[in-house]
Amino acid sequence: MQTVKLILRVKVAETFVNAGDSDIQGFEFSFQTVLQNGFVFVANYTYTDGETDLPLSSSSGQRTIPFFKQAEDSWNLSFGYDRGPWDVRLAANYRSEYLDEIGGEALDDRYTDEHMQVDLTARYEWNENLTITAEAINLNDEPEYYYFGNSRRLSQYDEFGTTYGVGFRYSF
Amino acid sequence: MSRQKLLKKVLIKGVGLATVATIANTSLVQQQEVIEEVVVVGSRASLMGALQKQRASDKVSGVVDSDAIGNFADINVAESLRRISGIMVENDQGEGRYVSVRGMNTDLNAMTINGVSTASPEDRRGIILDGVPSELLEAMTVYKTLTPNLDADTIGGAIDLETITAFSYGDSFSRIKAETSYNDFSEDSSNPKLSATFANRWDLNGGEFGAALVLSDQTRRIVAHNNENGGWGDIAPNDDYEMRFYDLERDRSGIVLNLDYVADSGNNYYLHMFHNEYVDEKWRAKWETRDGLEDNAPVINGNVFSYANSKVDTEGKSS
Repeated sequence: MQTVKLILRVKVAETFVNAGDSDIQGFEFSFQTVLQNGFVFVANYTYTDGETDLPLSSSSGQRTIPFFKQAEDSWNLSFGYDRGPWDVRLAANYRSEYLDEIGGEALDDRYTDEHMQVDLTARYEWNENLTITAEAINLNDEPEYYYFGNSRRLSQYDEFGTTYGVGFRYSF
Repeated sequence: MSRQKLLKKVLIKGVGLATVATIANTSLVQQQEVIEEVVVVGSRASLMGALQKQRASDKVSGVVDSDAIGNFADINVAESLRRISGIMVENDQGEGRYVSVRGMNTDLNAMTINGVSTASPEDRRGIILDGVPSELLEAMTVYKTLTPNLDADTIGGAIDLETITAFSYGDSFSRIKAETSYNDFSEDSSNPKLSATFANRWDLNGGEFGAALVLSDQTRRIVAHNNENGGWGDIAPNDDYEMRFYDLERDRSGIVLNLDYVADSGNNYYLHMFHNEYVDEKWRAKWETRDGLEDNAPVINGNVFSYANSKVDTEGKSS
């Protein structure tokens, strides 16, 4: 008896496909003021609305997705006091969620969730040469959260805690 | 709106800003005639200084100057840049790393150090900006749109990092900075951040010679708690799930040596040197469960413990 061995070879080649048309539009707003009594206030806001059409030939199918790695809203808010030897600043930085990885369908697209971090810095000028510094980073212990499609579908959750720093600067 | 239209709109805005700048400069000159010398320091002054630079620029830009670099609790260059409007930052291990400019992600932006193009150390175009210690810098400027005087090697914006020269400050300048920090996850208070800056200028042969040296070194321990899964079906996560504990030491160091000669004839000669190193020593422990780990009894192989459908292992890595 003779055995016939049949070998079927499938060759697969992968390459990149250009995304289709993309649109981005938005605006920026920035405000800062310094008051005579030493108070400092800074605020800025950026709105960016973007979308991209994926072509039929892409591995993710033909559909419209948010512009890759672009948060729609981001802002900074900071209050400070700079008078005499003191210079203190409380600052918050925010960005909304953004598309991080494109999946096979909308529910598999990975997003990085919104993130807001609050930091505090303080400086005290001891004399002409010496300045003492202190800071607290990520005071609100904000985690990094990633999800597939919508925020109920966890992809990744990271925590880093709050960091406190002290130091000095000596100029001469 | 198409990108071209957006660019056009932005350029028009740029022209408007340039007009403002002329007026601002005029009033500044008038003030200088009356008041001999006023030195203002602190965050108020740096705010106004950065705003002046933005107004004086004929491009749409954002500026963080050396005073502002120290004003916020920013760990690295990426974190300082996120204080500018139109800038978004992607994080790595809780620290800012990649910078997007007006919707264009990091791979679409160019970066220069003292005007010279910088290559990416990774398998992509985007530059990791958490590697550069901010102590080495005099200013960071983000050009949010491409203008004819910039190299046409970017789709989004361009980021320029300017290192400290002897002409950044007064005649001579020296500064030592020392810091340490404590994180409530790592419970480690030995995270030294040290830097020294020396700059001096000398009259020489019908001109002025200046030298600036900056040394910087930072070691920071980061502990991260991480949960991750491999994907979802339509209603439930799949059986690939991991819990990780990261313990890493991140070391950033850099040296700047800038020699400048400004001749009275108006010619400038300079030799600018920049060296920067960045190392992550990473240790991570992981518990994971996934389909395909079928053994019912634990199988121990070195530091890997395999249970039915789950596995525990540890790994050290340096990159």
